[in-house]
Amino acid sequence: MLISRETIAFGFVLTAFGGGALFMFLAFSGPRDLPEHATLLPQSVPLPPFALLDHHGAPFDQSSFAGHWSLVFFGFTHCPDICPATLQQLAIARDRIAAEVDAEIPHIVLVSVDPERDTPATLADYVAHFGPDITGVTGDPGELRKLTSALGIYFEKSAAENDSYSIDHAMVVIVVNPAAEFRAVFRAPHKIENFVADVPRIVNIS
Amino acid sequence: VTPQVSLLLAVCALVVACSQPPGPPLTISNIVVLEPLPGSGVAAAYLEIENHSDQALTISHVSSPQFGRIEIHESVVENDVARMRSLPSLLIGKQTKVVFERGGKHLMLFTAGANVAVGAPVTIEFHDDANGLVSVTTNVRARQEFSE
Repeated sequence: MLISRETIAFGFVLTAFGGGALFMFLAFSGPRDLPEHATLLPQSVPLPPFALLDHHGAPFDQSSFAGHWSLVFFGFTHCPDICPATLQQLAIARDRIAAEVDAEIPHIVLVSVDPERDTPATLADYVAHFGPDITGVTGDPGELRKLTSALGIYFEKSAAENDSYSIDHAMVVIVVNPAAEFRAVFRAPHKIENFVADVPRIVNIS
Repeated sequence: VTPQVSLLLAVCALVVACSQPPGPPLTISNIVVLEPLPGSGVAAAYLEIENHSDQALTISHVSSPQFGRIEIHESVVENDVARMRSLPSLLIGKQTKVVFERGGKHLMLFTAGANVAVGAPVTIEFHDDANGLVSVTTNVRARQEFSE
């Protein structure tokens, strides 16, 4: 039996179309990119009620996280080394996400684990140094514990030999979603590239 | 050139080499003093300090005319918890270099003078118990220049 040229050509077209359709199906219906550096919680955890102050002295509570993504870091302004370096990394990462990636730009929140020294005014000067739209949070130690306990954030004042005491503290970065829920966590050591790569993935997958 | 002249030249070279003054036992390099943080006013410095001598040296303390106090600190991160501790002194083994870097050893500088700002010169003095003072002067750097 002879096969006509038209039949062969139709076969090629059908094969090409089918292959293309299969490629498109695999490309767009498969699992979305998972974060490679952050740990995504199996289920988001709502933040507990708490009542702190932002660096303007205005109330800051769990509802302050609603409506936008946030990267939350716990530190203190008398830390000369790790805390400013991490805050700087977050600020640079956020700028790069804004410039390079088509994703929602997260807010940056620094929660002070040294409310004794970090007043709203101190935090206002401090966070402004690292760029715009960074919120400093401080307040009553008991209220602070409500938030840190729920997130598993350890902090403890270290033995003080003079007035330059330090604070031992968890240096994870918590990702909070627009529903004010704990969604993911970045563990140390932190790298700008890790935030730039994974924050959009966390946002997209949620 | 006769063998006698060659020998004479070699002896001269040896004498010249041996007569070179020895280098300083302690050198400071790659020092970076970052601007004081607004709010708290504390600053950090990173550097490399090398003991070229054949005996261990101890830095008993560090000072600066531009800062009220300087402490030697070490940050350690274990199990996602950052801890910063003040070191009373720094022992540097013979022929050893100690690197002060982010997330590790660093200088914490308190109470900056009014003129301490980005670009301003500051002098850091390292007090070596055996050899006296080693000082180094550098300009204050912006944190934005020192990101990673």
